[in-house]
Amino acid sequence: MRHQVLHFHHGHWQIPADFSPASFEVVFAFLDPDVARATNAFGELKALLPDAQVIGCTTGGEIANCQAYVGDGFAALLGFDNVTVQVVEADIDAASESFDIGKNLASRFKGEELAGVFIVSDGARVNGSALVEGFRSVLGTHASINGGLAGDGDRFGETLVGCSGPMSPGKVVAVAFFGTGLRLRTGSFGGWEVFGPKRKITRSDGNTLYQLDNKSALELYKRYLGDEAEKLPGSALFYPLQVSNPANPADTVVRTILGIDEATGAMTFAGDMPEGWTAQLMVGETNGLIEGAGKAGLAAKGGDNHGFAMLVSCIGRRLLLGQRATEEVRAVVDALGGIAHAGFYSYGEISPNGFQGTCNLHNQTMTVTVFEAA
Amino acid sequence: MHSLLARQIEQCTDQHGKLDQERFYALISSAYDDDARARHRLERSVTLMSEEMAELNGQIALEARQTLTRYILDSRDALITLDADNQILLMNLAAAQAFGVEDTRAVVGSKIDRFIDPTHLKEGQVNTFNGRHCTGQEVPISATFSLGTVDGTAFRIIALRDETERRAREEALEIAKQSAEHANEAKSSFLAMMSHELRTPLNALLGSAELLARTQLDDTQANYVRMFNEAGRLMMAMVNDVLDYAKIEAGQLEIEKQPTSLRQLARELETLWGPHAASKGLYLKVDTTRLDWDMVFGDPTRLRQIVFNMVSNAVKFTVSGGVTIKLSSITTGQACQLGIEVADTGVGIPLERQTSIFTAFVQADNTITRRFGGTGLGLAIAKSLAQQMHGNLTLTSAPGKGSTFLFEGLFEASLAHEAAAPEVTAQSEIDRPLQILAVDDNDLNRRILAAMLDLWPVHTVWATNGVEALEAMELQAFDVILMDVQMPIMDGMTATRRVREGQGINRNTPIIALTANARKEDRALCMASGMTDFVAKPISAAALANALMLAMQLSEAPEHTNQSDVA
Repeated sequence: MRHQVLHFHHGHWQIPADFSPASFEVVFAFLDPDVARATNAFGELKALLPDAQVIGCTTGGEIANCQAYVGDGFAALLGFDNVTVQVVEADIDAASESFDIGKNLASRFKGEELAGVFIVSDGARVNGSALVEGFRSVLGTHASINGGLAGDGDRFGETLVGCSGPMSPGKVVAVAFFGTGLRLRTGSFGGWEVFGPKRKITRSDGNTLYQLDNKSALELYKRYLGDEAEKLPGSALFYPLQVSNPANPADTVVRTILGIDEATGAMTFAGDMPEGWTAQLMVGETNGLIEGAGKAGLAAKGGDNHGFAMLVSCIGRRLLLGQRATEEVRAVVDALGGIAHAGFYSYGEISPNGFQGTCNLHNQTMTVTVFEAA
Repeated sequence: MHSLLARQIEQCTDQHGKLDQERFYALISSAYDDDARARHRLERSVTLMSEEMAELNGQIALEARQTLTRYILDSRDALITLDADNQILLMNLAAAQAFGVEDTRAVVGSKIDRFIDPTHLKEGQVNTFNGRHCTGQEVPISATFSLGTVDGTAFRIIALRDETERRAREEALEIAKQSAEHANEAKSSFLAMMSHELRTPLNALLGSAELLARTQLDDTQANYVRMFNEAGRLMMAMVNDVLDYAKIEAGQLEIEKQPTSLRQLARELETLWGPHAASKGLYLKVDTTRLDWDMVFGDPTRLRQIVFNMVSNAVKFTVSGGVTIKLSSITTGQACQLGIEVADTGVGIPLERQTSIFTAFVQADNTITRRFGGTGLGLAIAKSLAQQMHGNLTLTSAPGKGSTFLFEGLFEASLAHEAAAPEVTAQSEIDRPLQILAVDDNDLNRRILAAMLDLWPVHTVWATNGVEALEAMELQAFDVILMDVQMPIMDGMTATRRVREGQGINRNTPIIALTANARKEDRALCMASGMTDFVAKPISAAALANALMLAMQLSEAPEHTNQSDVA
């Protein structure tokens, strides 16, 4: 397979001398939201690669060159042999449509030998877990579904996704890879630790949480955040929630906050928060997170380092790691033997769960998808 | 160099190697800020978590205390909790009632000592002691004592029970039991006494009947005498049954162990019951082919009682056909497992009555008592005896298809050969004149004995007690002395001992004991006193004749040590 990473720098894509646009069939562009709005980076990329399927999204930070960036733009260009690529897209208005949109997009795929799917979705209007469930309902539990939700820096405002048209809010794009020439390997790991009492979700609605143990969840967060409460909802990412069904307590997922409503006390999470489930606060510490990223890399490791790794990490990790976010990128790339890579900080990571093989929406993880010629 | 610092330098250095200091310091400063914030966040998390955990612990402890308090107060069992100094924390209503406390709140904080001596309270066991009622009265109490902690505070919990009522109940029960035992003893001794008292006149009746039968009678008279005799024997059997049953109930019936011949038992069955069955037109077969052993250590009298009962019932309740008796044994080492099966072709017994017929005073059909007579004790006694012989008495039967009673018992096999006891011949005639001393205190018995002795050419001297007997023995030599055992002034055994110890002319004369006490012990006592033989009352002419014959043979021999088995 063929791959190249381009950097959007000083208002233009930096093009190497031996650039051969015809080699690539699919391109993923990861753009800082300000860059995406202030420049024509996405349009220029499409003009540069007229025969390729170009998908773009805004981020909470970009990943390339063994580093974590803020305020930049990168494009991952991929070319395959014996692989058919199909891109489908849809618009979404409200989170409640998520399952149906996922189901609709997946049912539009037409091909044999599905190697995997990579989803790039709006990050503000989507219930990520419902979206993935929609895909799973058509593709089956064990199909390799990967990707991430677009970001808006640490502002948690509008996110943009583009494919056939310009980048816009409320768009979901999914790329299917068919054929025996490609294998997808994935690894996903958090590194956060639970602490404090287990709490019961006593009032919620879909992915909106109101009360834990009959007390306001927002008040609890404010108490823990102290003076950082001013920076809500971004600062809430320092305390993700681990949730689990009491009937199956070993099967846990991590949920991160996407938005709050002071008036109603509502906290919107990236996935479902069912009433009756158990929730426990988590806390991250830099070394733990960096180590976790390394584990995700190891889990996705294939036979050699000739493939291409797509790194989707969580905005919460970047906020907590600060300048040391680069170290988690290095941990992944080192684990994968210096593999070529690009990626972004997202509002939700999508990948098969390491142990169960079931695709799901994750939060606060480093999620690695390695594209490898089979 | 720290990897972060290296990267910061790299980021701030241009292609000519020049460091952008302003940018570099800004990066370092921001990294410090990041770290400070992260540390602050972690510290805050730990503090808040500790606070939350403390709140939760307080809540859990409060709930535990409230639950415990509610449990104690709501419990119908008497419960008291104490602090580490044995001061009352809580006393519930049931506990208050036990001690006569009217207001439980008033005793909170006071020492438990006013109600219970705390030294009685030992953990992990039921303590029984007397507590103190408010009135000062002692209250019998049983209590368990446990230690526990709630929210780090030690407490003790006493679960107690007022034993006043139970103790009273137990005492009443003990009194009732004792009085029942007394009543039972009184009943047993009354039965024993009655049986004994009944036996003496019965002996006289049966003796008279036997003598009457030996006189010249026409057919009608002979028939009346036979009926008289049969009725008397039935009555005697009943009296014996009642006496046996009384002994079994009192646990006084003992099984002896002496060499017993099973083949002789079989012969007796044939001899005694064969003619009786034939007189009813029934066959009686005795099968010993499966008997692999003869001599066992057993109680021949009681074994005979069991089997005779079985055969007697079989003959009694069978009107056509007959009775088959099969004796079998399996002997392994010293253990002989004996089985005696008595099968008849009689009326049979319905299934629902098969268990109850072994119960005292029950017969298969109450109307049977009227048709066939009997006390209804025979089978109950036989079963008890069989059980005392490590065996059982069981029944298989169906109405119209006859009954099969099976006796099983475990015996110790004896290596002795069949007792070479002197054969008691049916010789009924005394062929030479005998000088006899007859001793009995009862006038009626003396008259019957006299009538029997009149059958033979004997001369009888009479005495009514041991002293008279000794006087008579000084005056002349006798061929045989017939000696009653129980007599006023001097009993038979004492008189026998005296004459044996002395140098008188009768010191070697055979002395035959006449007694209603047919037990082995009684016989052994008689023999130990120096008597040579033993005839059980009621005395039959045949038994007396046999004993006299044997005594004559013995008197010709130099020593009088032999014992016969005439009883």
